[in-house]
Amino acid sequence: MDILYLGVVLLFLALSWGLVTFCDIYKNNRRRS
Amino acid sequence: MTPNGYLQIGLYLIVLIALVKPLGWYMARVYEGNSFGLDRGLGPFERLLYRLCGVRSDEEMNWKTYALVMLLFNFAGLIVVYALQRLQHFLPLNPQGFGAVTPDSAFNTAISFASNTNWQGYGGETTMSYLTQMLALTVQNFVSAAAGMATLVALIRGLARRTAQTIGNFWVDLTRTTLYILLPLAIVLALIQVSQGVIQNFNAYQNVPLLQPTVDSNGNAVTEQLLPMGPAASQVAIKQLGTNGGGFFNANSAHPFENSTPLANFFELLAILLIPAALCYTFGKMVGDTRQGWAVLAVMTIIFVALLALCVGAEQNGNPNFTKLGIDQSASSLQSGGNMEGKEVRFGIANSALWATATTAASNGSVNSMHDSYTPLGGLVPMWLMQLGEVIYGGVGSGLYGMLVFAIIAVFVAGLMVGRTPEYLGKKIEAYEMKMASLVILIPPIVVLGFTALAVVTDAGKATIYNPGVHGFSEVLYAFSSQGNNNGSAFAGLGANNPFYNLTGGLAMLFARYWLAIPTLAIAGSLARKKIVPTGPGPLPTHNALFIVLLIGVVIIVGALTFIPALALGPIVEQLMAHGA
Repeated sequence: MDILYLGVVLLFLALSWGLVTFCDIYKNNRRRS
Repeated sequence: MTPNGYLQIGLYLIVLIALVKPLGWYMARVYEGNSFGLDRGLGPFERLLYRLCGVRSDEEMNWKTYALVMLLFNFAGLIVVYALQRLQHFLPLNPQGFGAVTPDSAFNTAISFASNTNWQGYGGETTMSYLTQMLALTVQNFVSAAAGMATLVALIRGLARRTAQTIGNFWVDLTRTTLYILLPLAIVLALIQVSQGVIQNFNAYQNVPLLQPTVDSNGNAVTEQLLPMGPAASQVAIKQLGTNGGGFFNANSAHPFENSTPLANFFELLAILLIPAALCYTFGKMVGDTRQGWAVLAVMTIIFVALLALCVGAEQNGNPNFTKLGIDQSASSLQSGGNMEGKEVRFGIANSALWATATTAASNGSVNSMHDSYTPLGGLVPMWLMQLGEVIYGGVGSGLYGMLVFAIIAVFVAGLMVGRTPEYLGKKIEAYEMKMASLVILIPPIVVLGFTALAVVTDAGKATIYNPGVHGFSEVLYAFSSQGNNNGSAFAGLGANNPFYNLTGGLAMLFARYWLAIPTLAIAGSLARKKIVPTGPGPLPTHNALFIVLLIGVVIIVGALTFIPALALGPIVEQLMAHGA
């Protein structure tokens, strides 16, 4: 069970990393265009 | 409301507002790196910490690095809290010999404390060792609060700087917040609490003879009571100052060992709103126009006082069902009157309702009365304050950065309504900022309403709703409003310490905390790069009465439009039933 909950946390961390990257890329693309 | 109630609430508000400027000025000095006294004594220690941790304090971060470091730091803390709970039976300072916390409860609690929510599905005195309470929970009370304040300071720098690529150094902001703001205030408050009788020890729980022996349900004589012990005062101080709210004991600040006297209650209440309110002045000071900070504080205070009056009024009016039973609910010199179910006699109506309003206006969540026993209208107030996004003072840091996002939306709305140039503090508000702001206001309602809907349609969710019907729905809505806005208070009545609620609640807290901080930091980064446009006739002034009214309108309308339909299924219909039946 510990691994399961750790997996949930890591998945959320990965999604958050994705959100940060998305916000950054989105901003930079807008500036270039 | 009684004259005594007016006096106590008035005194509270006067002391709170009087402390805004000195504390706000001090915090601005801390964040701007100016001399403020304490740095002379603790400066070498601060620099030693940086050296030990390999932090280069003179290197600043762009918003993306700032956000990633904040995320990683919080997740490291989350893992430590989880591990300490799961391993506490092998570790010292566990005189009661508590076993490991169950995985689902440890998961929920770890997220809860790392995210500054402090939702507690467990009872502290029956679950957690002293080591877990101190090393896991109290430490997170400090650093999660500091992380929220660091995020706010980054946003303020974004507003104050011109054509900058960086918004500060997360490690420096975290360290300075903890060392110079939270620790000194917490030490002072803990000492005050100890002087009032809040306990601070490592003793095993104590059996004491009852003054009035009684009998249990089987008719056996009960002559002794087991009293829990522990280092409560040190946790109580930071739980209030950091708007964390997690109680050492299950009854939280209704427990006499956690909130012992009316004076202790006053200081705890003051600590709940002290830093969030003072940060408004810090904001004004850092952007070079203190009127901006006062305007935001005015918005918060107006909404707070209006909802406080509603809550106190509803509770003082009493419960119509009690009236039918012939119970005297009138105020007199011998009793505070009103609906006293679930409230401490020593606090009465005014101090209970004031606490309930303050603790949910801030994302604190500690309680000194049981919110589930409030009248439907009285219970609606704390619930709605959370649903407004925890921006009425709000959590330390998170409340003000939430309100500043609302301010950005307000100037955009003004642009749409009357053709004003959408600018805030000389920074143009463009599509990118609005899209990030939209994320900030959309994520909490999606989380709250989505998980509430899931809980009331699935067997796993319905299994532990012990109150059927309208009130049961209110309890579920309250639970997810609390976790989905990082508050942490509970309506109770709902069995929430099970895998379904621990998992869904944990996810709600994660999204509510970090998926709001990320777009906020993105706004900070974007604004920092922009020039500051000289003030002209185009933009709406953001320090006057018109803007205050507009900002109040935006906060209320967004909150109302999003949650009134759900509230209509819970406390509103409950109020109508109570008075119509």
